[in-house]
Amino acid sequence: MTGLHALHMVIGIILVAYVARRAWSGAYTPENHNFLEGTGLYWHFVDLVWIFLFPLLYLIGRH
Amino acid sequence: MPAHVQPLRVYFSVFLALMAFTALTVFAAFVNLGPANTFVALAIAVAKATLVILYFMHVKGNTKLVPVVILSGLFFLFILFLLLAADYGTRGWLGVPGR
Repeated sequence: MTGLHALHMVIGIILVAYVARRAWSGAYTPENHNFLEGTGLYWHFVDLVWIFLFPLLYLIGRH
Repeated sequence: MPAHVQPLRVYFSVFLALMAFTALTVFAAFVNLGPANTFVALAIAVAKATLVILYFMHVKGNTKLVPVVILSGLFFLFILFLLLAADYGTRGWLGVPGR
C-alpha cells in the first residue's frame, strides 16, 4: 500500500510541477483554470489516502 | 466557480490545524488506551479528512449537490465495510473448520 501511494505521489508531483510552470507563464485565468482545479483535487485525494494510511501503518499497535 | 475561494489566511489556519492533529495522533499512539487506541487514531483521521475535503477540496461554499454526491459515495463505502465486518465478526460461528 505504501508503494502504490508512492506511485500516486510521483504522478502528483509531476502534475503539480507542470501546472506550476504553466501558471507562472500566465496560462490560467479566472475563466479557465479547470486543469489547475482538477490537479488540486487529485493532490488532495492523495493527501486523504495518507491521512488514513499513516495511523493504520505506523501508529496502531505501537504502545 | 471562483466564488468558493477562501482568503489565504483560512488555508494556513487549516494547515496548522492538520499539523496539530498529526502531533495529537502521534502522542495518542504512545498512550495505552487498550482497544480505544484504534478508535482514537481513526477518529482523528476522520476529523483531518473532513478539514481537507471541506477547505482544500473547496466543498465548503460550493453547490449543495457536491456534498450530496460525496455523502452517497461514503454511504456506499460504509455498506462495503459493514459487510466486511459482518463476515470478519461471525467467522467460526458455524463450527466448521476453515469457515
